[in-house]
Amino acid sequence: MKPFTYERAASPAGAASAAARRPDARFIAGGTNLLDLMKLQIETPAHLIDVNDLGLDKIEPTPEGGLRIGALVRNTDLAADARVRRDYAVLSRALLSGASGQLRNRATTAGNLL
Amino acid sequence: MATPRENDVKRRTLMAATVATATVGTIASRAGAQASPASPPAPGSGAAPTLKVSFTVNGKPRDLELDPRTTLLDALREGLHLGGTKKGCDHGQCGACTVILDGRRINSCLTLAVMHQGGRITTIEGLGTPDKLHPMQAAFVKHDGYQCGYCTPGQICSAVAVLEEIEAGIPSHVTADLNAKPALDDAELRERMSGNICRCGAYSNIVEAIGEVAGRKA
Repeated sequence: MKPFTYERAASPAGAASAAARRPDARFIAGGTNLLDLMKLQIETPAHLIDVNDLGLDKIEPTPEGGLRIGALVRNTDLAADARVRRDYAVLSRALLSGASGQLRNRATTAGNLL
Repeated sequence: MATPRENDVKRRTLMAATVATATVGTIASRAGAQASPASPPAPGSGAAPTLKVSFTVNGKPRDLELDPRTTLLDALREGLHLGGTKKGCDHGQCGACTVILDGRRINSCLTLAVMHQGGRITTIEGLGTPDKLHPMQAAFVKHDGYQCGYCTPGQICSAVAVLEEIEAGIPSHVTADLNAKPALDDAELRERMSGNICRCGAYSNIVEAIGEVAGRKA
C-alpha cells in the first residue's frame, strides 16, 4: 500500500469538512473493498477518513411506512433485520447472496452504494 | 526435558529456517518481478507518521504504535507475535485470517489495526489452549477437520461465530424461510463456512465437527 495518513471523524459534519480539506482523501467504513484495492494500488488515497463513529448505523421506520437505512448499517444487520426480512425479503436475499459472512459483518450499506 | 511449549518453539524455529531456505530459489526466479504490494509496510521514506492504538486481544489490553497501513492481521502476527491467525490470500477471499472482533467474525487482512481503538479481539490463541481446548478445537481434532492445518485457526474462529449467528437468528443464502429460526443442517453450515477455503479439502469433516458442537448427532 502507498503511505497515507489517517483520521477518525466524530460527526457527519466533521467528516464532510475533513473531506473538503483533503481532496486526496477517501472515506473508510468497512474497508473490505477499499483496502483490497489499496493493496493492489488501484486506489492510492493519501489520507483516510474513518467514518465508523458517525452513529449512522440505525434502521428506522419512516412516517410514510417505509424504512430509513443508515449509511453505516452492516450488510449482516440489514439482511437480518426482522422488518427487512418480513417486508423487503428481496433485499435480505440480495445481501445474503453476496460475499461471505466475514465480509458481510464489515461491509456497509453506503459502501455498497458508493 | 523440554516442555511441550519449548518443543513447539523449536519446531517453529526449524520450520521458519526451512522455509527461508526453500524460498531462496523462488525469489531468485522472480527477480525483477514487482515486490508484492501486500507485504507488510516497512518504515522508511514516504511512510506516514505512526499512530498509537489500544485494544484488547484475548482478554489482555494491548498498546501498539503502528504505520497506519498495518492491517489488523499484521498487527496480531508481527506486532503481538500471535502467529495463530494466518495470512492466506491477504485479500479477504480465503478466510485464513478470520478473527472475532467485538463478537463478530471478520477478515483481519481487510481492516486496519488503527481502526479498532477500544476493540475486543479474539484469536485462535484466545479460544483455547493446548491443555484446555475450546469445544470447537476438540471437535476438529476428533473429526480430522484439517490436513495441513493452515486454514484451521480461521476455520475454527469462523465456526464458533457461525453457531452464534445461527443462534441469533441471522439468515443465510440457503435459509428457506427468512422469518423462521435457521436450521442447523449441512447446507446451512456449508454456506455459512463458505468464506473459509481449505485447499486440502477437509470440508466434510469440518461440517461434522461443527455439527457435533452444535449438538447434532455426529
